[in-house]
Amino acid sequence: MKEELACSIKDLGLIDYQEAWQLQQELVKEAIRYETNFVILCEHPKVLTIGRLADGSNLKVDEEAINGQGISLIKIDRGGDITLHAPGQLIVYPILHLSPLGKNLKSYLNKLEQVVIDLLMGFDIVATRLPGKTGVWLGSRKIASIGIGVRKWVSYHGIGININTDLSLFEMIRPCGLDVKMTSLAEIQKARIDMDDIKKRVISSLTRNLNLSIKD
Amino acid sequence: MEHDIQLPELGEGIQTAVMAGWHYTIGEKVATGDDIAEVVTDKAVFNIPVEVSGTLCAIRAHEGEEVKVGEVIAVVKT
Repeated sequence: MKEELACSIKDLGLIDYQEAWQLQQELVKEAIRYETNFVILCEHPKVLTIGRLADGSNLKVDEEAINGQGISLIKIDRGGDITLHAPGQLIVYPILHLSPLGKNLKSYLNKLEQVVIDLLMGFDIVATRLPGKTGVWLGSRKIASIGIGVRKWVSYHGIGININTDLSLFEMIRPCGLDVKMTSLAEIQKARIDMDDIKKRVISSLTRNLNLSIKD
Repeated sequence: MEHDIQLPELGEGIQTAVMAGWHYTIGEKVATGDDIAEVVTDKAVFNIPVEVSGTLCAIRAHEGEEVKVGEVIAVVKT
């Protein structure tokens, strides 16, 4: 039987992107030093983040317009292109030792996709992967974006799942460098979704797909 | 003794990555488990750990270059 990863959940609520990034880096160090694992759950105020392979043309408005709306623009240390975070989008940052999961980035990305696919299955929604386009999709609409970092085979960054996100904000960018429409669970269900319920379901899906055992 | 440092297997379907930067310069000491350099794939930033301790004596892949899994990116002298 595969080794279970003992894991602490840190629910940070609504937290500034940079503050959460600082905490992620501290927890990565702690995970490496003490062989521990964490999952951060949070939401961020409106922010655009730009990954290491970003193409500048994927930002469709100028920086002044963004600042005018009170949105920050941050270059960050993850794979992927540009993405948007905003309240109503559940952020999941698993800080996990990948060795027990097989030291396989592709397999880890697949497991993160499966976490979201299983979450949506709980609402009788059949979501899929699209070949070559990491993320979780409902037809041609994308509901979750994924980008990770790995240090000493410990993961950081993770998943953004649109739950109650204001989807009009995505009009400023080509999300992940793609001409794609984003969707949210609220848009599909035509109702606002209880985020606390979603967090419980996400923890359950993470536990199953990544073989976690949750510590109090 | 010289040890080649290669881009490790990152998972099936990932054959190449782009060199994003080095955490050490030639002549610096590295220790087993240290992340020596950073590469980027389309969805991941990956820091490459070394499996020997010694002195970094050659860098074979430079920032912005595409490297293949198994390709020698550096040499460490023990």
